[in-house]
Amino acid sequence: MITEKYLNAELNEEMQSAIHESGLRVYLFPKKGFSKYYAIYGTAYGSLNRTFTVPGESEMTTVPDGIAHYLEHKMFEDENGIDAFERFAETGASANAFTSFDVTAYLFSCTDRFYENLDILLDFVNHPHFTEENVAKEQGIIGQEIKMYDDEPDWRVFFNTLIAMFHNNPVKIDIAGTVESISYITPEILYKCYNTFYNPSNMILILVGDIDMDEAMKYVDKHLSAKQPGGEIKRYSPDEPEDRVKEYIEQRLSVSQPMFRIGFKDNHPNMSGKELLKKEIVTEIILESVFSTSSDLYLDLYEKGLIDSSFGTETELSSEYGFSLIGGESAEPEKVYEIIKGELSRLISDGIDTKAVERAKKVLISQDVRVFNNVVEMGNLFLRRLLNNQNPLEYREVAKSVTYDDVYKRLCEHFNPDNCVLSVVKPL
Amino acid sequence: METIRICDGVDLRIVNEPKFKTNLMSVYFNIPLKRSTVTYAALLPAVLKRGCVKYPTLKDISRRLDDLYSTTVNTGVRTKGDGEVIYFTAEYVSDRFIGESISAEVAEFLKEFIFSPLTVNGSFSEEYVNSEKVNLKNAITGLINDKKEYAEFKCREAMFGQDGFGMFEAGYTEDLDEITPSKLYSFYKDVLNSAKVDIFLSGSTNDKLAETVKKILASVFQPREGVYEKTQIAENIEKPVKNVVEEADVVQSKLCMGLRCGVEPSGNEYPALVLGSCIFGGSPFSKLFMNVREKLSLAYYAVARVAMFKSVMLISSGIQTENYQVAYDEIMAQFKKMQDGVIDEFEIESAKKYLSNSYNSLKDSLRSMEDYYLSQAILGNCGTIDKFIEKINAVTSEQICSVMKNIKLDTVYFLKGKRADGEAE
Repeated sequence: MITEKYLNAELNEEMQSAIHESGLRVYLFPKKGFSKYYAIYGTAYGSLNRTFTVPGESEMTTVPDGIAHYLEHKMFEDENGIDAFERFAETGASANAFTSFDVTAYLFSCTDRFYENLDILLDFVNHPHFTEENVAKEQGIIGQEIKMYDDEPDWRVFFNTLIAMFHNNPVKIDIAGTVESISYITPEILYKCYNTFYNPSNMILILVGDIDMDEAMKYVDKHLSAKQPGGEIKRYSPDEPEDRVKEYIEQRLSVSQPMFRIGFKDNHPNMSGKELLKKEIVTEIILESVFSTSSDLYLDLYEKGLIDSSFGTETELSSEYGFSLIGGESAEPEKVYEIIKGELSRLISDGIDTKAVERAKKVLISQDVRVFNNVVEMGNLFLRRLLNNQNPLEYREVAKSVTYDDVYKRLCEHFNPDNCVLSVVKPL
Repeated sequence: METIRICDGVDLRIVNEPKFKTNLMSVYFNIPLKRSTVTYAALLPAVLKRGCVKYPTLKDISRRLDDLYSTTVNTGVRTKGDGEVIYFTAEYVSDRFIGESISAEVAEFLKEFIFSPLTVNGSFSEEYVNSEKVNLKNAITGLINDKKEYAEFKCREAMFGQDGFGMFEAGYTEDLDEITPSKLYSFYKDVLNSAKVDIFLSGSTNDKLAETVKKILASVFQPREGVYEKTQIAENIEKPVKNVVEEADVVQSKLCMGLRCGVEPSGNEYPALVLGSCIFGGSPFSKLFMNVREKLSLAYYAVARVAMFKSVMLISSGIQTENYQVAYDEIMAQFKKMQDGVIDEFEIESAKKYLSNSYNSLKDSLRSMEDYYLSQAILGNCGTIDKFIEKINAVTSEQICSVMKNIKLDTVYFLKGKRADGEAE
């Protein structure tokens, strides 16, 4: 096993990487002086992966919606009925897990006994134990989790945007599934998903803190043997037309005033690595220069009383899906929508202010510096970056390489005022 | 932490932690949390945020901050028991990563931002005040958007009424009509001249930097008699339990229970209260998690936590409406175990380790450290985080039991859901 080192002198940060003989990729970000250690162990598997071919089989399998998330819940129990939380309780670590569209991850943070905790993490994620009984027990808990989200207007307005944007892409399906879809989950299907996607070569382990790579690798050796029979996982992604499904979507919930999201779908997925990182940065530069508190548009909307400090933007781009969102609360979301579409048309015909682009670039670079203040944020963000084959220490270098033409081209292709959607949650 | 007195009632507190890539410079005005001023206090930072003499619009402020290597400024109010703080914080990249020192410029910015607001005839701009009144009204009515937070607030309100800790820090919509720019301005002047002030400089600091910041900010503060508000803790005397049921158009019901603990946060019993509440409902191995969630599958979350200043325990859970009684009974059964001392060694040891981990983690965030030290200053304590962890580790099972025995259930608040699952159109 060879450990490679990558240094960013400007940031005074280092990344060490190693590939274990099982195929697991391990990355270490040494942080001296921090009290906390953080480990996150993730697989490139999430709610999107509902149809796939199990390695060694020829038929495609379609699984119930919400299964990746359900699997995440069930990984915590072992054959003795002991919950991984109980094992972490013995060491004092704070453990958790999450499932997103394309990642499932298990994590802990602690201030001492790091290697013992790493031992527990690697052990429980590599020891599935599903029975009829323990699978059934989770229905009630996850059922309440789903219902909690049904009442959260922020979550609903977000998902409705995806529903209005995407025809076939499974990103539009709720990560936790529905009370009905999860009722079809059985131990057999859970094992099938586990055996397909929890193969070490599909996973990444990230360690942040004052940690020694060689010592950590001893625990990887303990739990993972040489390359396990796996083979290629064939993931099926349905074709997605470029156009939106519908321009407007609305839901009524118990809220005080309307909430909205304006969504732009990304029609150029299938990118990864530096190319994808650059696309993300260019998109962020546009959002920052056109919609941030430093922009003319923000001031105009704010002074007209159409937006308040809840107004914000985000972009999420991967190889399987992508979108950018603008939103917040407003008494008149339709008016905000029209003004924003008008501004985008104007920018597409006149071009963006070059000063605003330069300012946005600087803002992003200084935000990148701040990421290194927080070991948890580092681990979570870098897991995503590394699963996409991106070097997290190269962010500022890539940001600096962005040109005005990159920005303008992306503005025209992505922020198309004739293909965006408006999602609104209105009071009852 | 080191404290330098700038003048009477104004302290500069230095937290030197060079491991961070940023510095934090903050100004806290400590005022009582009163029904007559709560809405004024919430509105004030929103109006100041709109513009000052040197940077008259949101855009001017934002662009100045972009120029300062994307410094981020936050302002608002935060409750501290029966008191509250109006805060102004600026987080900026420390010298090493930009090759120049901008601390003096950040201090100058904060000085302008707080002390030189836009005024018209000796009062705030009417336009800014009116527009922020609308935004504040939306923020106040927006409490209902987060049902968990809403239920917890309604429970607190049922316990204490519209006073001190029972209040919503964003204020009350009915106050907004009477607030004029000149009334708000005189409230502002009063805060500037009489509140107890704490200024924090945290991150990579040194004597020279502290001196620079002190010099810039000292010029705008006059000596004052300002003192911290003393919080009246919730006494654990016997009273009839209040039951409040409110119907709402939601899928999931929220059950929230408020209990009076009667423990002084500076007293000897406090570490036992923190440890007991962690065992009861503050961790993934707690009695509430293991039983209400894992054993009975009644909820996704069932937690308990203690509001330190007021000595109130809040139990919070999201459940199916028809499971109200079974969830209530289970929560109370688990609580009775705490009071009867049915706590095993594993739970105590686990909670001690868990809390030691949580408190040690505060040291990895400048904001958390500032908040910890500010709370300690308000309480008149000078204890460090390490000292508190030591106290937690010394707690015995008998001490937990004796604290829990004295806790009294005050209010049971139920936000009763009456909605079937809905879909978007």
